[in-house]
Amino acid sequence: MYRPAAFAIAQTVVDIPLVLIQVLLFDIIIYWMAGLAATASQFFISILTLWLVTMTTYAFFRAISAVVKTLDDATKVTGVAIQILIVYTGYLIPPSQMRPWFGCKWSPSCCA
Amino acid sequence: MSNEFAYLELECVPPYLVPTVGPGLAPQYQSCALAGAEAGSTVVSGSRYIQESFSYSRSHLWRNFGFLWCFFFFFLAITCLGMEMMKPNAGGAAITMYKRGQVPKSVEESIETGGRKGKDDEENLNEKESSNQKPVTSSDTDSPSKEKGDDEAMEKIAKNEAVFTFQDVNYTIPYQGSEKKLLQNVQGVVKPGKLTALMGASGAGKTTLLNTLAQRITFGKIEGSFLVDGRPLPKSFQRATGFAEQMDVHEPTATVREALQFSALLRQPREVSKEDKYAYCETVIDLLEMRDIAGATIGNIGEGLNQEQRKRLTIAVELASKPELLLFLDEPTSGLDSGAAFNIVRFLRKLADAGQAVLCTIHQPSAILFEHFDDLVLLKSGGRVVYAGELGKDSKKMRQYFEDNGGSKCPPDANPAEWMLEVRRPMHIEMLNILTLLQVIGAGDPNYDGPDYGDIWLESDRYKEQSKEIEEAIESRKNVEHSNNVQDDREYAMPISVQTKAVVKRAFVAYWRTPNYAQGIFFLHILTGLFNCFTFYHLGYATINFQSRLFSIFMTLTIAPPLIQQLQPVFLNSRNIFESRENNAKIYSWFAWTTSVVLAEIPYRILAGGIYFCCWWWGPMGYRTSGFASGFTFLLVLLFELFYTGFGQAIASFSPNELLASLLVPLFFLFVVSFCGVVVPPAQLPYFWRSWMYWLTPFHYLLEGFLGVAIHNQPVVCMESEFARFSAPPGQTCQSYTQAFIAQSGGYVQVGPDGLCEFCQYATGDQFGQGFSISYSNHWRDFGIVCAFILFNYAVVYLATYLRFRGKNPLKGTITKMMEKKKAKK
Repeated sequence: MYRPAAFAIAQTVVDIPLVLIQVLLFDIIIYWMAGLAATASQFFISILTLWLVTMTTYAFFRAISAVVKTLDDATKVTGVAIQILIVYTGYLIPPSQMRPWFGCKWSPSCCA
Repeated sequence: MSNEFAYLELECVPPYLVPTVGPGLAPQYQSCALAGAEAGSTVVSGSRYIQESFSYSRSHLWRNFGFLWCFFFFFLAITCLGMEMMKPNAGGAAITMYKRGQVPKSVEESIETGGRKGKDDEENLNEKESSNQKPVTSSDTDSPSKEKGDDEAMEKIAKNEAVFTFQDVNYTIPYQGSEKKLLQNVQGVVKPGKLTALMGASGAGKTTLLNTLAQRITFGKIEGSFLVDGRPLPKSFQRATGFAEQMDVHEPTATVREALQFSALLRQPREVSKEDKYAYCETVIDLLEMRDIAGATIGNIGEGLNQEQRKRLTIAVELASKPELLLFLDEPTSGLDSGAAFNIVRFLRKLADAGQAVLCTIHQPSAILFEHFDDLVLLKSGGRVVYAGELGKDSKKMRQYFEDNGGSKCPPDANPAEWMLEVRRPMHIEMLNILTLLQVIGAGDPNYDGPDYGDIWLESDRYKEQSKEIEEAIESRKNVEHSNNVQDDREYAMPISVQTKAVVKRAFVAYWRTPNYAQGIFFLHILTGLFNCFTFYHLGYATINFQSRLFSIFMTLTIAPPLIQQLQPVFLNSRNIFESRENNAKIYSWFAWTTSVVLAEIPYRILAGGIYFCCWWWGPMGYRTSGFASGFTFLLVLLFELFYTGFGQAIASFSPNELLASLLVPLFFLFVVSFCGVVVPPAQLPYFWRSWMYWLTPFHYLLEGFLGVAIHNQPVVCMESEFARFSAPPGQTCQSYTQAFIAQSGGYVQVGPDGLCEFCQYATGDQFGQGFSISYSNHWRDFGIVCAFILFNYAVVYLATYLRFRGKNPLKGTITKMMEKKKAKK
């Protein structure tokens, strides 16, 4: 009837407004309660970024689920992936402290 | 390799995030201790650092924004690609798996000869099936030798003697403010050796009646008398009857024989020896012709046994419990093709001939199937009886009844089962369409203006005859001695210790036979362990390295959520089996079930904990800590394993389904993690949270235990960049100048090459720990508290399960009350 890829794209398109609403709710609460810089430009940039980050994360996990066969396998992969994502944000370990085999050499982020 | 690198690059998304989020969140850095600590040692340079980093990342903001888009599209492309490549599940080539040593000979041979013989088998099978599909009226297609074996088996099968009667059964439920009658004045009798069919259109109340008779209704109001030999039902009624449900719910990892033995062991009375019970299982296997699949695992739907084999197994499991009163079956033939349906009814006939009382609902039987039944209860919509009683040869008696009461003649070649649903539409018998006919009688066709057969039945002679019959049956059986099993008023056949042992054993076997699950656990532990190890490989003694120790431990704690997500489905699947079948049949108690799921997890978790510890600990810290620190950490890892297992199970135990359980995990976990003292150091937590949540978080104690021993007696040697530099006042050395300060708040001072004093904030690891309110001396206290938390988790598991299956859930009660009130208002 339609290509499987169309399904994936449709899901993503549906997410666009949904995620935006979620992010708005989340950011409005967090941003002002935490007392972050109260300028319009900074606030909207943070919303935009947050939205894009969420969409990217959705896409990332969706990619995992599309590639992997069973739920068991998916939880295996995501379990490790989440940790890697968290640790190499650069928040937990400053990039200068990352071990050479996991860190800077091949990660463009450190050089930037 | 390139593939590997491509994947690893994905992980670099977040490093971009920080500078990008930077402008919006920059002020947070000011208040964030972690960033402050990274920045430097003094406040002034710290704020300068933020200034610098602010302008730095600001210029990269939109570039990074672009990068994010690239990643987004990259992942989207992968998703699309993955979807394209994914093949939809290919029908399910059912593979039958056998237990080691229980493979039937024929299969073994066909494997050995490389399947050449297997072809013959297949042909044989086809022949057999086609022979089954031939419209034969009796079951004597089997070879004589087999018949003989059957006779033996039939002799051994338990005979029922008791007569079950029910009279004036009314069942009403509250419905939209008023009441709705689902059953009206139903009466009947189930005698040993009789095969009774319960028929009616969809929605006429067949299944309702069956459930009512089996005493499985927990909602609404039931009136009427249910008597076994004229006496009220014993407490063991549910145990003494078999109820084969429409859905074939079985533990997928067990073999057919094990399923039977499990049922026999726990449901036959405790006076019977185990050997006898197991021998009886073999009898049942023979009777239901399951010899060649006895050693096969059941498997999930779509793999393992096929539909008909499953149905036979469901019946066999009920039979294995030696039901002394009767056997209920809910739609045993639906979902089966005609051959398989015929086979099932043939088995039921066999059982009835062996002396069992069988009552089953049946939907759209063919003439051949219908032939096998002795008695019939026919319902119309509203739960009213249209006909009840004997069918007679070729359904003569039933035809007679309808013909006497204004129905048309049933042509000899028509299917009486269809005809009787059609009696008042004399013209259309040739154009029988059973589906529409069923609707007519069931839903009450508005166009139908013939006589109401429900009323006719109540006035008929047959009805009076039947009432008399019931009275007689009650009278004649009143003085018969009951067997012990029926008499004892025990809810469960076996004592709780035996139940628990059997269920725990089955759970262990189930885990052993799902290596995929155990693999998943170990895989996650090994990978995260190694990852953690090499991320923090050979930590030094600088302040930042102590920070890293903290994170390394923190990372260990964060492996919990994916592991919890992994274990919850297993927990809930097991609960579904228990809930939908085994609890209703009173096979074993909630306590036995809970113990089984709790215990079966533990060995795997302990092993996984050991593996994780070996992968992780020795790289970052273990290589130069004391032996005690390593040993204590090992213990803590084990406790941590037990903790999150219990935590996950506790959450699952009070969530109604998988989705909610997996949604609740992050919520609870967020609380546990946020206030453990790492994400925000305790001193900086808002007072509200610090005053109670911080002390309530189990991870606070786990972390203190881990970190306390990891940094105890470790020296701190600041790096060049970590020193606070200042010059001593004139006339004083660096030492004398800072002496008082060091005595008060720790640290050490040295004279730099350029003559400035260099002050390092910490001198030992313990001083570092104080910054996070962590002290080494608490480590055994923490150990104890974590143990208490584990016990608490398991207590919650037991309590939630108890409330679910035993007690009235107070919440549930109030909710339904509120709903009722709402409805009443409307």
